Amino acid sequence: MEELIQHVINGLNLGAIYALIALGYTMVYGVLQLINFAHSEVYMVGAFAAYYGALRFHLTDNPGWGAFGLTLLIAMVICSALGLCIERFAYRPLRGAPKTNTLITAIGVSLFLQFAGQVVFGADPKLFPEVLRDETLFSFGEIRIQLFDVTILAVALVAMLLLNYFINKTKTGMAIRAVSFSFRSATLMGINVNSIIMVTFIVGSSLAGIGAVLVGLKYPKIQPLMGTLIGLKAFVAAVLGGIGNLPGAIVGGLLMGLCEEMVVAYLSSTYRDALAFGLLIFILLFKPSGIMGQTRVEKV
Amino acid sequence: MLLELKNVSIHFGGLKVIEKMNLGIEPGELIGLIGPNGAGKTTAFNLISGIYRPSHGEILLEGASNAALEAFEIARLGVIRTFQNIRLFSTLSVLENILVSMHQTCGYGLPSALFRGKKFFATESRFCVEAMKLLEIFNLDGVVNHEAGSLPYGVQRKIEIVRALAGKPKLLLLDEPAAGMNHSETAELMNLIQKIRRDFKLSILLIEHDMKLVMGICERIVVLDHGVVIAEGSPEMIQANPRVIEAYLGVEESA
Amino acid sequence: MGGLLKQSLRGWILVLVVALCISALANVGLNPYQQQILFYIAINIMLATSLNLVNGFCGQFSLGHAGFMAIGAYASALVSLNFQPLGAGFDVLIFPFYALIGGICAGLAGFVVGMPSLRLRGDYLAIVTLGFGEIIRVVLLNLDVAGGARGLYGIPGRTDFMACFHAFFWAGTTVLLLWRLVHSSYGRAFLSVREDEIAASCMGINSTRTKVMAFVISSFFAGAAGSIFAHTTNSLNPSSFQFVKSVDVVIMVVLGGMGSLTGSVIGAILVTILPEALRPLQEYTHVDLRMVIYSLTLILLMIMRPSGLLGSREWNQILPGPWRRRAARA
Repeated sequence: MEELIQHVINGLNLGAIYALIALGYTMVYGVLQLINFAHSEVYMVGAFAAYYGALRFHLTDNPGWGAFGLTLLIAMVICSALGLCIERFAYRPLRGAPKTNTLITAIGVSLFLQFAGQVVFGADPKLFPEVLRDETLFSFGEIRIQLFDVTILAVALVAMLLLNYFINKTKTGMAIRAVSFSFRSATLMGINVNSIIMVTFIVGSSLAGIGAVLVGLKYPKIQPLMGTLIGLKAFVAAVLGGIGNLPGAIVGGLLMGLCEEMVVAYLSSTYRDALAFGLLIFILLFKPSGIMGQTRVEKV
Repeated sequence: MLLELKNVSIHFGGLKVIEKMNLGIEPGELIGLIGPNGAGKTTAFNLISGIYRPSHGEILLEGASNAALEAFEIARLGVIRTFQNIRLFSTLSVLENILVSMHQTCGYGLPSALFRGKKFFATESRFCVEAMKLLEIFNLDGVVNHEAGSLPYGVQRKIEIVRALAGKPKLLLLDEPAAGMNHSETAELMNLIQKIRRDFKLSILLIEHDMKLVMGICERIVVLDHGVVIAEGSPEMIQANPRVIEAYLGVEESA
Repeated sequence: MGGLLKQSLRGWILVLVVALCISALANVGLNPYQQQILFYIAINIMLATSLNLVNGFCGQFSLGHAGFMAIGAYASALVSLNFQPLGAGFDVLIFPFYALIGGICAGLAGFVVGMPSLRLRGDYLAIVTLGFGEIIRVVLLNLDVAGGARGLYGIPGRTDFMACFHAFFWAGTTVLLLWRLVHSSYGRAFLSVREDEIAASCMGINSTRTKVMAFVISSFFAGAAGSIFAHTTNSLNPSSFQFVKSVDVVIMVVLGGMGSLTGSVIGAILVTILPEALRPLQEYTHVDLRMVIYSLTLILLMIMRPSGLLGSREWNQILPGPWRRRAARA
């Protein structure tokens, strides 16, 4: 029983991170109908931005909430900048093009960043800076609740609440929802779609940056190809919840994290990664619109 | 009866697009389906051709329900349509567009295609001959190898009709075939429609806004308004029907 | 009747002659390293043209080609490792059968994967095929009979004149058969599904069956290519069939032009040769910029010239005047 609770805690943690990254995928898909393959590399760059930032500003000298907050900020800023560049130079020129062309470009950007990352950062793994010290907060029997676990859940929760407020209670958020619903109509209503898309990328990329820092805390080994696997799983989570649907991304992420944790704990760890692919195929074949998505009818 | 719609309704969420529509078409009839914009006419075509499924009611093709049939099966049974917003295969040539409709009667299998057997050459030349004959009827033999998407709008509309004819339909559904045509083109189209009905022994169901064409060639007219059939009868009856006039023009305001 | 037979045979004679010439030239004029590149060219031609059938002609987007190549490679390798009916001198006659086996296994897999997936839209299909490609790789990685992470070794096969002829005979056959397929009623069905699937259905085309047909045929040739790959490199490892390999093939198709078989051939040749041509750059800078240039090329291609080098034109459409009229009868 205690083991189960520990696994649930771990699963929720993992799920919270998947949810943060999944939100980025789902927001971009919502406004552009594009699977932003490069999102996983934005996440990776976030981790390295935190690494180099911590080095530059000597943040590991005084680990604590201040250093942690600063690291988050650095990651968010760098990720947003990268996300904006990608949108501006790779995706915007293809705005009117067939979706497959944009998809191919997205794959190209993803690969480019992976390989450029290997060249610039070096292929060897680096150690994420210790900007926060882990400690055990509570323990009952076999269950241990770590500071990192609480931090991850708390930060993720705050981010999601802020996002929810932003999307549902602000004018810009409403504009994003309008563009997601109908690109054309939004332009006709006077919404500056380019700005909205830029905001979407900023928000999505920032969430990836936050996710990167949280992951870096718990799993400090970072390397240029770290984005691929987690990006795929987060993408599956987004599809699971219904791609384009924000609450869906969160539900999908948490579900994904819990499933993975349970599979590793009770079945076999060899197939942990295959779970993501399997889930993806299953959901696409049986309910492509996801748990919370709605099928749209094509007008003929 | 060739085609029968029995109490057919279709809803999209809360929007009732067609409500309890009844329609019957016998072999050889030329029927017009008219109504103001948004009445549900093209939706009716989509239901008949299998692109949409009715929410209630059934559609019978020669007595058998089309509920379990896919769109391509309905086409192979002889119900072929054109589209309101032209849907040609734009990058293919005019001839290739026509040949696509003939694929269903393709007499050769994959091995013959890959190893260029006798059947392949025989079928391909038969296809070309038949296609050219159809194109000649519509005076399109001059643009046979042109890219379909590069041709003028009126020509594309005619190509769509020829493409539908190439599938050897029993029932031809024409969705606004005269849209964008001037008087002389419309007159030519009227003659062509009657000619193909005669020569190919077809039934034709025709959506049109051009009243001259509809009243001129249709034997029977069905009027749709807000998804409901409000009148049905000969052109004279429809022209005099006050409900029809009201649907198009509104009611006269008494002073 | 004699004339039609001549037309049918013309293609095969061309394939035989081209394969012979290339093999002869390779044997005489190229060093072993360059010969190895030539084999990769043949394999990549098969991969690119077959993928073009699905992506270019049928308008679907498959990102899992490497998976089918892997199935063909492993299936045929497992057969050839355990079952060598002919002696050493005659084994050259058995290699076409290994390739056939690889192709059939991959084609079957293509059917299994394609049937449920091909009703999905563009980007969803891309993800599902990506997923299947990766699942195939992960399964091979964990399958002991396939050697797991270590892979398979000692697969019979040579890289001499006969092997080169075999590889290019297959490459030529692939191009010939796909050309004929595309220039037939089935080819027009593929194109109609690409152009407008709904209109195609309303004209009597079974769009799902059409797409599955393209997918299965495409997988078959990918599997055959995998088999040739296995028997040329004599060893197999799941790491050769990662997602990057599928992207490689996509680059070849996009570069050459989706919808042009000639383009795919050219794309395959260029993409095979390019990394080798860039090797001096790598040695000079001590940094592997090849993949960086690769991916950048893809991005720039899509932004600046998405139709690729040839667009959807074939060799007989890009020739000047009098030659074009002659070729128009092809």
